[in-house]
Amino acid sequence: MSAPTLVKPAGQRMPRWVFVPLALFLGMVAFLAVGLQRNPQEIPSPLIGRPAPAFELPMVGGAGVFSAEQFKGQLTLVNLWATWCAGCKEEHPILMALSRQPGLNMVGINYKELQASELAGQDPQSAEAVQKATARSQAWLQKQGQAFGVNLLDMDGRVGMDFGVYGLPETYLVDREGVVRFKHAGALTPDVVQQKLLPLLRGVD
Amino acid sequence: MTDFHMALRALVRAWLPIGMAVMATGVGAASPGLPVNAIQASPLAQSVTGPAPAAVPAVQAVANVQSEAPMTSAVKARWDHIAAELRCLVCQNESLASSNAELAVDLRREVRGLIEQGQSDADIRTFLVRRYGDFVLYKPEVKPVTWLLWFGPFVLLLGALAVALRLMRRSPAAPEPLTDSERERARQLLES
Repeated sequence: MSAPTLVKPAGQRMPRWVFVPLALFLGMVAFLAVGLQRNPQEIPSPLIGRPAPAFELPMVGGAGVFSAEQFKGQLTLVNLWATWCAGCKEEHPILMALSRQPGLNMVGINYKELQASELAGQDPQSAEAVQKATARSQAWLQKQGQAFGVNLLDMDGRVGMDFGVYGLPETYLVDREGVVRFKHAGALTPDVVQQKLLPLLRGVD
Repeated sequence: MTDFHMALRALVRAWLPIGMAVMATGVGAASPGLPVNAIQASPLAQSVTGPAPAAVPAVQAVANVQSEAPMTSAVKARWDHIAAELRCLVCQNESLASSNAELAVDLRREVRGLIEQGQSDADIRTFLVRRYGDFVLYKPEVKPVTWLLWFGPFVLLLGALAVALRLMRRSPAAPEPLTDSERERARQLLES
C-alpha cells in the first residue's frame, strides 16, 4: 500500500478585491472629515442666484412705501434687524462703515419689532402697534447710527419669511437686476466683510 | 467544506431576507405617495409630536381671524401629516409641529393657512423649500443629489452580499503536492 498522499494547503495570495471595503471605508472617512468641519447652523440660502422676493413695505416714519422693484438699478445691502436683537447692536458699527461705501444702497428691514409676547393678541398691523414700533426703531437708530438709507417695518414678519429668515440679524446683497448674490446669517464680522462681501462688491461693479 | 464556509453561508442566508426587507422599507420610505407615510397621523405620532397650533395659547396676533378658530378635523389630519416632516430651523432638532420658537409659530400659522386654502402637501413643501432650502424637510427629496443618501446603504449591502456569495462559491485552489523531504517527515510522524 502506498503512503497516503499528504498535501499541505497552498499559500494563497490575497486577492485584490479584499481592499475594496477598506477603500470604501476611507471614502466615508473623507466625507466625515469634510462634513464635520462644516457649521450645521449655517443653512445655505436657496435665494442665492434668484431674484429677491417681491414685497412692498412701509417706510418707517410714514415717508412712503418701498417695493422690491426698487432694487433694480442699484446695488443694495439688505439688513434684517430689530431693537431686541443683541447681534444687531454688535454689528451696527460695521453697517455704519458699509454705509460709507460709495454706490451701496443700505436698506434696513425692521423685522417683527414688536414680538408676539409684546403684542399679546393685538394685530401687528394696527396703528397703535405700528406707532410703537416706529418710535422704538427711530430711537434705536438715532442712538446707534443711521446706517440705513431706507428703513422698513416688517410688522408681521411675512417679508422676512419670504427671505427665508430664521434668526436675526441677516444680511443680503442684492445686485442691480434685483438678484440675491449673497446672504449672511448672524452678525457681520470684519472677516466676513473682508473675505466675502467686499470681493463681491468689487466683482459686481 | 470548512467551518468558515459553513458559517459564511449561514450568515448570508440569514441576511438575504433581512436585506430584502430593509430595501423594501427603504423604497417605501423614499416614495412620498405611499400610505405607509401617513403613519404620522396616528394617535401615537400625535402624542410624540405635541399639540396642534389650536392648543397654543392665543398670544399671537393674527391678521387672519380664521386661524384663531380650532382646525376642522380634515385640516387637522393634513396638518398632522405634514407638520412632523418639517424641521424647525431655529431649534433644528425639533419638528415644526413641536417647536416653541417664534419662527415656528409663524410658520405653523402660514402652513395652516396654506392647508386651508387647499394647497397640496407638495405645494406646501415647495413653499418652504423655496425660502429655507432642502434642510427644512426631514425627509430629503429623492433627486439625483440625494441618491447616494437614499440608496447608498442598500447598494453597499447588496455589494457586500455579492462579495460574500462569490467567496463562498469559489472552490479552494488545488493544494501543491509535498516535496520528497516533506513526505518523508510526514511518514515518520504518522508511523511513530
